[in-house]
Amino acid sequence: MEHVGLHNLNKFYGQNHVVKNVSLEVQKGEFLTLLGPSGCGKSTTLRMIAGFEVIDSGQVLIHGRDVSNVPANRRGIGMVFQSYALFPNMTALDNVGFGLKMQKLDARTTRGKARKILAEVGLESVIDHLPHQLSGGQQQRVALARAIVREPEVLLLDEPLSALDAKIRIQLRELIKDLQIRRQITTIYVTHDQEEALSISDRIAVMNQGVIVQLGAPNEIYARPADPFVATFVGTLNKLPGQVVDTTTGMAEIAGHRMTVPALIGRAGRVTLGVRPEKIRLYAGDANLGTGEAIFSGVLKTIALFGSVVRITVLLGESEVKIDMLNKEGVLEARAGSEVRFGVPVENLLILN
Amino acid sequence: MPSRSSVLARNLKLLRKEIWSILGLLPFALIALGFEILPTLRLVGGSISAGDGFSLANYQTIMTSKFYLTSLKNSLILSLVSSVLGVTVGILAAYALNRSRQQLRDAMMTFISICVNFAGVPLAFAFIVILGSSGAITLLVSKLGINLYDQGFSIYTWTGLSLIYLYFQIPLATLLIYPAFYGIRKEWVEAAANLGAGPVQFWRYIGLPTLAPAILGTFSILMANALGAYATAYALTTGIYNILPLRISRLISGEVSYDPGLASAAAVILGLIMVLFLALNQVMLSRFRGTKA
Amino acid sequence: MNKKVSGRGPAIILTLAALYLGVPILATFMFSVAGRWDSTVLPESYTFHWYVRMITDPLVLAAIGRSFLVSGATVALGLLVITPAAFITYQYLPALRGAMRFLAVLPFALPGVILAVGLIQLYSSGPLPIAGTFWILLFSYIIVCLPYMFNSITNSLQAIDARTLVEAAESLGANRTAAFIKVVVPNIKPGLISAGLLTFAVSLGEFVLTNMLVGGRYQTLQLVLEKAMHVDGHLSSAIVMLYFVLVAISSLLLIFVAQGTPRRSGKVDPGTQAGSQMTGYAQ
Repeated sequence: MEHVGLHNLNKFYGQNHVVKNVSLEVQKGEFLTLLGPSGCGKSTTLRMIAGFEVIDSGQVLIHGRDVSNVPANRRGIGMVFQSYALFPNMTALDNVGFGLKMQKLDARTTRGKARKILAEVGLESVIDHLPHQLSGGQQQRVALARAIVREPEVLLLDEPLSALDAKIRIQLRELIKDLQIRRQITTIYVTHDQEEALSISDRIAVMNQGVIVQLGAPNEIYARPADPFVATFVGTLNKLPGQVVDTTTGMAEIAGHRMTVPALIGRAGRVTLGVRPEKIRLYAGDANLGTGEAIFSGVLKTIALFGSVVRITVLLGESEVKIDMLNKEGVLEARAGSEVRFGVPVENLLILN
Repeated sequence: MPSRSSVLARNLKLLRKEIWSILGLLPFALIALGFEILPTLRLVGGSISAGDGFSLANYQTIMTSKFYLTSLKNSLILSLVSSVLGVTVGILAAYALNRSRQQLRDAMMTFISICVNFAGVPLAFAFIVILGSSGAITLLVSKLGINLYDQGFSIYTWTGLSLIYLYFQIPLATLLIYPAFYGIRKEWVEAAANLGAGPVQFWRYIGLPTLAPAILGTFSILMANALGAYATAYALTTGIYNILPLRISRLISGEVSYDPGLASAAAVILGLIMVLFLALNQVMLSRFRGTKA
Repeated sequence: MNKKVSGRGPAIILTLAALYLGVPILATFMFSVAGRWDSTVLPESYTFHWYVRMITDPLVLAAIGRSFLVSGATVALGLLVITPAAFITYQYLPALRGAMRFLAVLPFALPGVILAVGLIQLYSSGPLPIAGTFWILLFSYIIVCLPYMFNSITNSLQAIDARTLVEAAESLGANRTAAFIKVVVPNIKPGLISAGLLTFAVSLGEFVLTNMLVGGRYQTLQLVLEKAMHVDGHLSSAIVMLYFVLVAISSLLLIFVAQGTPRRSGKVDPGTQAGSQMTGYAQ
């Protein structure tokens, strides 16, 4: 059932139309991410749900109730901010207890609940510390505990991990997901980090210039981007510029190589095709070539080790093609400057324009 | 593009949402209205009216009166001299502080911070104690055979007034210029040295240009500070010395020379000069921030 | 900059500056404890007589009381009125921020003598004839101190990122009043104290408005001192020293508060803080 509903939300800053007719339904217990570049309107949308921005037109429903004109403190939301926003004058325990105190809960229950949730996020040893005595990751854990201890109807997170180091970011990401699943909290999460969005969400709404351009499960967004913007914004994408040479068969010529792409049937002129780095196969020597692939040859430029993955960059005419492979034996032995062949599976090609 | 009516609707929505905020501003707004805005309007209004209607007669009177023009000139010269000297000492002191050990610097900064609020009547009195006709320093140098007051010096004249003004300008100048020195990073000196610049070149091409906006900004603050100063000269000369603030006060609270219109015009002239210098400071301030970023 | 001590130059400069600033105060102190001091370089005898006279003179005592009362009231009412105004325009009414900033800068262009000309004409007669009373001093002092108060409060709000803290409080169920009182005020306390101390020092030293607006009808310490200094030098010197001590205490507390405030942008040199906070105008 719909738990949070956005209906034709609009927001102007002066003459600037920053959120345009955004409509969205979030299910109970769902983890939905608003993903997009900075300035795309995702934070403004979140802040309208929270009640920190006046809604110029449209409605926000929470649990069936129209909260569009309800003050932030009576919307039943919990919010986590990029800058943690812990109250500097209160200990971790008092920060977590603040929202309960606002609910007029008695001091003992407040302390008990706050203590319990702080233990749940792994901070029982620092409950009496002031925020400035805590690390960034610890502060954000307190902020998370503070937001969920009130059992809000919906949890809103505004770039909660952006200020943290890479390692801590992943730990905390897992903690957030863990708590969300365990407590079945309806969650709306804002981020510009596509990897974060893909790894944590049930569904993703990709936003660009104030509009939701695609809404779907992470895999859907990644594998079947709705438009060139989504295709390039989510994940890494190789762009192969070419020319359709036969409209009836979908034959295209790319960097001197011809290939038949069924999806191009009926198109003419210049096209740009896209392919994800991990879909490309690199062939060493005279290995057997796969079927359904277009085979290219190019010059190996660089090999970069990412850990479990190796990224190989190949020069194909004027353009560069990135290929990701698992870091298995032999992969790193290829030489820069050598001639290599690689296969692009035709079914994985994305037509960008 | 939002239509006009939707803009209106949005503003109404905001107004309804912020009604309590607007009420919270009310006490402040009333005080600001009654004691800042209305007096200013009254001042300007009074300066450009005579009898029943609009008139520039008050300004004409001031601009053609040797007496008032002299008071304006005296104010400007006194302010200029004390500001130029104040800034000069301020630069030297800030430089010296920057070059000093931590403890000395902290102690000196503390002392200067106290002195910056030591001004007005008590300051005038303190200078009479040292440089009055039987002041401590007057007596000290007379023991050495020099009688200051026979040499034409008097604390109650222009020279004395300049010395006192300089006293309250120095701490202010030092406090304002010091942060600019602090802004000159050690790394800049090292980077410049790395690129082959000696100390002279460093100060010529990097140090002084960096300090220049702060110095000019400080100068304009000191000018405004001195131009509006009243208490020191009033206490020292019992309100007789011919500078613009004392003239203004005579015109509005004196019984013989009571002329509120003329007082208002003189006050507006003084205010405009102050605005000029404060605007200069704003320009310099933004420039200073620019170099710091 | 290089922090090494290099040569005698800096030491000479600082010594001269300290002498220029210190000798008048020191001499006044000597004068205040001097018994006979007519033609010698140092006093011929010492006494606390003048201080005893000061604190037993009903005129001076009453003036001290009035000065404390009006300065204290300025601090209290100023903070009470300007803090919410600065907060509301910062947090909820950004459209009024420009107007607020203008009001907070304007007093710099309106030194006492100018402000007084407008105030006298408005309040000598008419519907609100408060010239010559405590009230006109209180409200005009608030305007004089408005720039310090507003800047100090606004800087504090920015330093703690009050905007986000208040949003956090509201998301936790606090209404605006609770967010302001429970979250904002405790966290900007150092800024409020600084603003209060500076306002107190400035109000205590205020002369021009007092002299022009109320004159003999509400004699503050400054007015009494101005009258006394032409008549009784020794008593005056004791009053000057009292005033100096009060200003010194305020300034020391101000520095103490400024250094105790943790800044977001790492360590700030105490001098830099002092410079940005203590641009109190001389008179």
